[in-house]
Amino acid sequence: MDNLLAARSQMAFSLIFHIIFACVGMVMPFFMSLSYWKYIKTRDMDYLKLTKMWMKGVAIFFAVGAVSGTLLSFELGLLWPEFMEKAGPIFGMPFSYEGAAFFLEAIALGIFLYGFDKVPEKIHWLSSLFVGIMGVLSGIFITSANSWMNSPAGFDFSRETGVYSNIEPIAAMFNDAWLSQALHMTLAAFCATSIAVIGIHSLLILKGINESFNKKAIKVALPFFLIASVLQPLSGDFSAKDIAKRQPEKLAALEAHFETQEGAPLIIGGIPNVAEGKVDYAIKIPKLLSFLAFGDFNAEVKGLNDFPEDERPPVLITHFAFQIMVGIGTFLLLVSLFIIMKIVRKKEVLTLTTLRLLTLGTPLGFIALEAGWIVTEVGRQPWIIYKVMKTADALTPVPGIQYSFVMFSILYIILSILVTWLFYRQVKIYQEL
Amino acid sequence: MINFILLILLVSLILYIVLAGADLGAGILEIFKGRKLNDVQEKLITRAMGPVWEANHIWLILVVVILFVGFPKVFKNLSVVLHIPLTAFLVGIVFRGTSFTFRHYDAVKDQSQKYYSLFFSYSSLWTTMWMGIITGALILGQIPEVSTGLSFAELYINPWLNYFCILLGLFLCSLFSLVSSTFLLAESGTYQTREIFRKRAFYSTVLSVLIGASIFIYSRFSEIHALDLFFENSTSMGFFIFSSLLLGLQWFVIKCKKDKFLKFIGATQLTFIFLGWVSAQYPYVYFNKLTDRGLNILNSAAPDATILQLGIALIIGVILIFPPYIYLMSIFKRSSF
Repeated sequence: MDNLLAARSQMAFSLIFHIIFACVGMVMPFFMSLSYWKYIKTRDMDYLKLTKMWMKGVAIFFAVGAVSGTLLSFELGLLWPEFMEKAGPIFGMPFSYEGAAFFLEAIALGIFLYGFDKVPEKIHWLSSLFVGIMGVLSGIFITSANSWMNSPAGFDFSRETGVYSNIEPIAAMFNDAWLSQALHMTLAAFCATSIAVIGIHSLLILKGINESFNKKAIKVALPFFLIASVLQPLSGDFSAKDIAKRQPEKLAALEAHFETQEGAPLIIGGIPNVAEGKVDYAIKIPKLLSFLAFGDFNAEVKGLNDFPEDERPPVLITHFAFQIMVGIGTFLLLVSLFIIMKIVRKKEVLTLTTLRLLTLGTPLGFIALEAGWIVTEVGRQPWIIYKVMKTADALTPVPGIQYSFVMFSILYIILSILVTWLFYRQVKIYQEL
Repeated sequence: MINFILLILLVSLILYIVLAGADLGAGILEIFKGRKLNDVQEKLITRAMGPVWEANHIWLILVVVILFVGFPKVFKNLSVVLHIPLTAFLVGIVFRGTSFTFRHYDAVKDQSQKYYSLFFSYSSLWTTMWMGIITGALILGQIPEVSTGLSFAELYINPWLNYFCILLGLFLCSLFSLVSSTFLLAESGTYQTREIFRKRAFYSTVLSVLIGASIFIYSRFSEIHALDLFFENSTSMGFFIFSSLLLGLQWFVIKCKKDKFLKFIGATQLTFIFLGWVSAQYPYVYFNKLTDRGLNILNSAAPDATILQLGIALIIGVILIFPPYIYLMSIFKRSSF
């Protein structure tokens, strides 16, 4: 493993780990807040218990998210100093606003966690809602910073001198990709977190534990899941059309589309054979890719072979990750539609079949979310700033990143095991009460 | 605008050092808690730190963000040459943050609490030690240019692995223990716990003075000129003299049991030491007297457009953050335990 691969892997590991905690920190407060609202309205003690249970979960996830986020802010410099030196002043603005939002989130969480019986109930409730709103804002700011790497804006770059001039941080923040990415990410966070929460409570019902309590939990989280999972494919379509215009090589890689052609087929599944430039065992739906990417069945979609060899993203990983994301997204959409149909027909929603489906969905949202980020990040390679700076040129001169990668990987694995164990104990004890 | 940003950077650093210092010091004190009143101490620490530690932490993130947006060259240089100690420091932050949270929120209170405490206290020591080593490397200023074809050790190890930096690490540990014991002394409600922390404060004062003196003596005898900057600068000297006077005053207050002033004195004293260092070195992040070279923060600033926007973001941030932050502090810090 060379230094570059080690640094990329360490960054990937850190992000894969952090993003789960970040998403939980973004979305869970809304559940907590809604449940607390229901308690204030009905004085049903189950909702208070639910609020407190989720609150403890949020506290753990938030703290782990905060430390892994601190780590990431340093890692940007430790691994990619050249990138940060050039890009910091251009794309750093959303980080400052994210810092402010995150700060407010932490304060609100502090007030909520320790404020029972200390602050007036209305303010206390508002603080829980505030945690969620600030969490979502943080997420949007960070995604905006990432989108700048895909769609650099707000500066002039001279390839001859390597100088970045005419810097406009606000233009960089609102680059062409920010809206589609922020939308897709926010929905993904809601989708993944809500199905995970719903799935766990469904499992508990299936096991015959505290049925009425767990049903209340599902009722709080379900609306979020239904809305997010139905909207997500639309936002995905918006993103795909955007990528088709801005980053055609990413589209070609995630589709494993090798030859430029008009009326290009949509490739589903299959194993990309990069050497021969074809996809084995795939299902091909004629003309659909052209339609999905450009809204025209006969539009020309540029294939990978038409891009310079040293500017093609890795096809295998990008294609697989994309298939996983879309596959899971479709499954979750179908589950949602199935449930919505039941609600419309006024039938019992949480039947055995639904509960099983929901339990099955528990990890899927997060798998899709991680896969989606792999598509975004690996699909941008070899660039760290699209068409401006290559990832290899951003790398730290410090040798031996392999050791640091191994160490952090072990650290993250230990932490994952610990958090899972703690979470298990948390769920168990609250179910016994 | 750049001065405003530097001011915010300075304030954030001070707040981080004082608040996280008290927080880290509490972890260090736990190592030496002895058998007496074990649980009471732990509970006091948890209750005092619990509501605020995440907010404390964010001052550090703010420092990092201001550096990479506003002073990218500083961020880059430090990230490269201090890669190893920064990584070690971060590992400590991860361990102590998570173990503190786990200890506090684990639904089941059993044997595992012992391990959380163990991790929390030793990683606090570890983190502070590395923070001191990093500070030592900046004071020493023997940081070479990366492009000069030096060996791995010369570039990435020698600048921080030396007696001076290690002494500074120890100095910081004792200072943080001191500030933490003054905070906890002021916060604790029972006579018994107060007496425990009074003793802690006493020992850490002695330790701070001893280590501080040995840094001074070591620098004299090993011809390290880093401290000359401190003595040549009257502002810096002023801060150090004041902070020494405060140490004396603090000693007196601890003896006379006027505990309610302690927090203020403890925090001011630490702040003055920090300001003494900053005023000696400003505008250099690090400066080597022998080679007359260093990293000037003013020469490393981002373009004007960025500085302006960063300033605006910080103003908005300050306006939005301070009221709720003070509200949070007032709710939980008003009542003593």
